[in-house]
Amino acid sequence: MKKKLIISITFIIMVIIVLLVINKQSKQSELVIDNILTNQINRTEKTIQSREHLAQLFELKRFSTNTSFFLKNEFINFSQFTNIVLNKSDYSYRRKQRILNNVVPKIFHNSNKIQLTNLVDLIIRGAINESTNIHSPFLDTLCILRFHKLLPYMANKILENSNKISKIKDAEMCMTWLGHIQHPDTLQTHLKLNRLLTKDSLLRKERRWAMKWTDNLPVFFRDDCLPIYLEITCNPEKYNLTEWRTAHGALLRFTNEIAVTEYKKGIKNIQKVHKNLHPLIIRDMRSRIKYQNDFCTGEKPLIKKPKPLLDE
Amino acid sequence: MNQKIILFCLLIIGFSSVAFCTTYNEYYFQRILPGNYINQKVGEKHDYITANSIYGDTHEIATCTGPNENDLPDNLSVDTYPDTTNGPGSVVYIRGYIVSAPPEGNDKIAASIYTDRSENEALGIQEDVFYNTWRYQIDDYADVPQSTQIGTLLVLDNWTNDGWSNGYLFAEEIWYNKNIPADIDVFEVVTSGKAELDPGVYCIETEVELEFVQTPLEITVYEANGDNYGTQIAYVNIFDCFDDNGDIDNQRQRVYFLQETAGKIYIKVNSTETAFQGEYKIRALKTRPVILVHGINASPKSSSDPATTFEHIRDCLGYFKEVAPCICYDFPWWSKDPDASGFEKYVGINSGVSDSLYEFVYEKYDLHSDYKANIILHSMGGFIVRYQLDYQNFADMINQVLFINSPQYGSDLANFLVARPEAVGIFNLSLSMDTSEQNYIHLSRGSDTIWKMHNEKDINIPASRIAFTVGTSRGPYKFLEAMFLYDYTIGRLATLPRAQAAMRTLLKDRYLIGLKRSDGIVPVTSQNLLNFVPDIPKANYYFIEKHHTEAQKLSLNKMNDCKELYNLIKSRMNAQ
Repeated sequence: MKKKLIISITFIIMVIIVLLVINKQSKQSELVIDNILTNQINRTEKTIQSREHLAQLFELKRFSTNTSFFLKNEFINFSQFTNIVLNKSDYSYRRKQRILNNVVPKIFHNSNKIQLTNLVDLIIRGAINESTNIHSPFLDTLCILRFHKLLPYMANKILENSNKISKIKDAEMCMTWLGHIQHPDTLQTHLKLNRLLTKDSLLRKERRWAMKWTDNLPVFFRDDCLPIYLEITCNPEKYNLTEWRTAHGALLRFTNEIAVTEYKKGIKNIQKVHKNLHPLIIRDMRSRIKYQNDFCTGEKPLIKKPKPLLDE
Repeated sequence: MNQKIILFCLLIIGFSSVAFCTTYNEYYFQRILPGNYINQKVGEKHDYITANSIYGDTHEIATCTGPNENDLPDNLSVDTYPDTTNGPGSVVYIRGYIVSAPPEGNDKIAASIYTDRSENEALGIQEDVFYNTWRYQIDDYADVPQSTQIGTLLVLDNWTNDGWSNGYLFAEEIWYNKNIPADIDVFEVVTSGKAELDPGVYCIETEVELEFVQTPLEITVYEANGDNYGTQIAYVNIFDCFDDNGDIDNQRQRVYFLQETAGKIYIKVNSTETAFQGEYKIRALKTRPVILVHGINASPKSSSDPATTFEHIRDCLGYFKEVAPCICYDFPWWSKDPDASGFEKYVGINSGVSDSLYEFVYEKYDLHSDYKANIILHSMGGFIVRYQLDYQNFADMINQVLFINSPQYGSDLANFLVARPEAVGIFNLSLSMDTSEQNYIHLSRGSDTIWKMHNEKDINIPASRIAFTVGTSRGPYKFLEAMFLYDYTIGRLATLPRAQAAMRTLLKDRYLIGLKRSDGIVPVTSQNLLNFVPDIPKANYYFIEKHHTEAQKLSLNKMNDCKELYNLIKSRMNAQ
């Protein structure tokens, strides 16, 4: 009798322990985000930005149910435009002159300002027409104009043209443009487009002369992009595998403790969600930890942090 | 007493008059010898003889004569710049220079400068003066840009062994002993048909006569600031060229500079302190950009990575005297970049994809003023270049492409590693550990990438502009064996029997049998471009006895080992 009592009591205790452990694990993902905020909250102003961006992320679902992007009536000035070109230090003098001589007159036509929608249209048209030339000042202009307020215009253009054979190049040019705007908003736009672009969209199909749209997220090295990558890494069930893999890979380029620990945890978490993941991919993810170590110890230099966008 | 005082005074007067006479003679003699040069400063008259004037006017100095009657007076001219304000003892500058070309049969013009005050005076100083003056004073080029006598160098578009201009520096040991600066020549570099130099990257090359000049020249490149020297933009004062054996050549120098906007450029040439006088040749050339594209798991990985897998090609190729002037740029890409989905990230459609090879090449093409680039690539770099060459506007920027051991049909080793990832764990192959799985798949025989390269991707340049090497004779498994023994020696594999057993397993693998004739990693058949571009001329390819990881290295210390590669590079770099 006594033995049975002891056995039942121990059994109950074990069950309680197991339940506690399971409960702890389920709360793990929430804890991660709490940790991010509590660890960083009192350190720098950047953490406040991160917090804001995390808050924005949670609005992502509501945001992504809309089918179009909100466009404002905004303008760019002639002098503002020419100054941006002249200040582009990594372009040669000849390259800048080519933009000022060929692009500026076609955009402004003697007027002092231009609406952003028209600007995007004109530059993309110009860039498509010069695609067979070696010198391509319109494309160069496209790379120079890094305004995050341009994002909705581009996203809209991608959505509009993604299924039209005659206009698919417009969408491709916008894809290129998108990659130059290193900003957390770009990541959100990208995530949103991943959902809005249909699976049989022309843009997703492989074409010989252009990149196809993949769900791979762009990888930016700005501190304020980290929370977005972390959010995706911690919630593999909410995002598709390609999104998750690029976000997880992007953590390697951040050297703070959270990025390091979450990268390791991510490898375990993803195996729970995608049980048939190829062992080669898992091995690859593991082998990359050493690169992060190298970045942390300073053995390998990190890529330079990008300059802020022109409208930040 | 008074007599004694008078005698004493007379003695003093006598001595002083004698002393005065002596001083006068010495003084007279000194004014003729070159001496008292003013400090060498940019824009000042520093290259003239100065003499102390007796009378302080222009008449005493100078006229010019030569050893032959034909030499004068048409060919030579003399300038004097007397300082008359101070009277006797003031400084007079003398400078002679060649006005026109010397008569036929006279290689060098000798001339002498003497005073025309009186024949006796002139004769009295002739012996010393003739010898010392003509050799230093007669100059064919100016020492400062303001002069009309500066030389002009036309930039040559194509590299040949011709196109030299001649120069002569009048520096001699005596000048060094007297701590006097040597002669200086100034050239203006212009694009042919224009009054100034177009933007671009240029090379100034000099060759000195070994008989005379035993030390290098000092070559300084200045931006023009009006008629004066502006900012210094390049400088060299050593012999920095290599011969075909990788040794320093004691006659040649090269200096490269970037001209960003059209404008005047001055080249100042002078001999270094210990130089003797002598002839030299000089020319200005356009410089070709050379893009190096490395393979998988190689360097540089990012733009800030100073390492290179091409060893001395990057830093030294532009300084081989038999190779056309060029500047090598190492394209940074990382096969294991955490955010990369294989090599395709580096393939751009057009300028705009900032990491792409297209953008990289365009940047250099633009910098070199639309001068077509050469590409030297190794191994998987060939994939990036093949994908890019499919675009006509990329191919339009390319002059020559040299494939070094590039697996155009894939590698069996990649198939092995894709099919048996556990091999990495078993054998600890550090090479494969460092390679992303995406690139394994690209590199596998029969992969989609290989199919696309053969079915879709055209090479839009003529076969005569393509060259390649094929690595051979390294045995089937040399590399793996070496890796494997290494693992054993550092203790990763505990026992030798275990190591041998692992090796036997490895050798039985069907994939690895595909490496039987290879450079250790890529099969010979896969490296041979004749399979799909049969028109490549025979002079454009070599079979080289090198291992895959060593084939692309040009080492100055071991030039004998890489002579074949060097010769192929040389012939391709010099081809237009």
